[in-house]
Amino acid sequence: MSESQEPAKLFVIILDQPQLVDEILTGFLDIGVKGGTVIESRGMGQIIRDDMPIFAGLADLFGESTGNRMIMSVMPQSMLNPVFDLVEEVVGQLDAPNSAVCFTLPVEQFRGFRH
Amino acid sequence: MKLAEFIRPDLSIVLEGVESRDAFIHRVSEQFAEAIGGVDAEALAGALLEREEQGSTATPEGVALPHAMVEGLARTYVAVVLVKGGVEFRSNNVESIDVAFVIVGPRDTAWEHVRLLARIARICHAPGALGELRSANTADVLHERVIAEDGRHV
Repeated sequence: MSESQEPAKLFVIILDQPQLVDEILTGFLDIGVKGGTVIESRGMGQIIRDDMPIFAGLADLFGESTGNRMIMSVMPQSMLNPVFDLVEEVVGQLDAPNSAVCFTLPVEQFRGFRH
Repeated sequence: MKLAEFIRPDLSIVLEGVESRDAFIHRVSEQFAEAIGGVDAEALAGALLEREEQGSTATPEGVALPHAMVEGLARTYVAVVLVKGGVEFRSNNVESIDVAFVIVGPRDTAWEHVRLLARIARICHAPGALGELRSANTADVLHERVIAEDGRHV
């Protein structure tokens, strides 16, 4: 089955350590992921801490964050496990605070240029 | 992409007394041509130097990544080279390099080159990896160590 016939998935990484973006993208290239989108983003906790004074007294519940990066890439299903492994290699244990979360979503339709 | 698929023991090279970047490229090209056949050493050196003239491949870590796509090859090869004492590589930002990964492949393998460059960057950025390579005293040890470092990554 060729790569284009495989079910496509959207891989999403929300990275709490923006300085690791380069390592993730380098790993993408190594694995064979040829494209993706990186968005500067803010987590809910950061917005609550910084922008919503009513919660100031409870700010410690929401962990400090310097902002995060959301990386999105549509890829064939066969690449998912190598990419999960890559994220763990770069970030470390994903269940630690201020590391990253990643998940996949099915891509039902796709139009546009595909590498 | 595992580097191990592209590196061979006879493409693991330890050099000493290399006077210049161009001398380095010529010595490695000769060893490449002898090891893999199907490629002319002078033509290969010319292609690698042409790429270097577009912008040095030397990195601040003291690693150079010369690469070229040439006629006459059926597949891509990578040489890992340790330069004892280092060599100046005509870079504005890098004084000298002492480790090099030289990538040579057919003309239609641009994406493979990109993936290999990414792989090598990951290997070189891993803590302690360059120290392991730099402390190799023979080509065999260098080969063993680069394969070991490659194996540490997904």
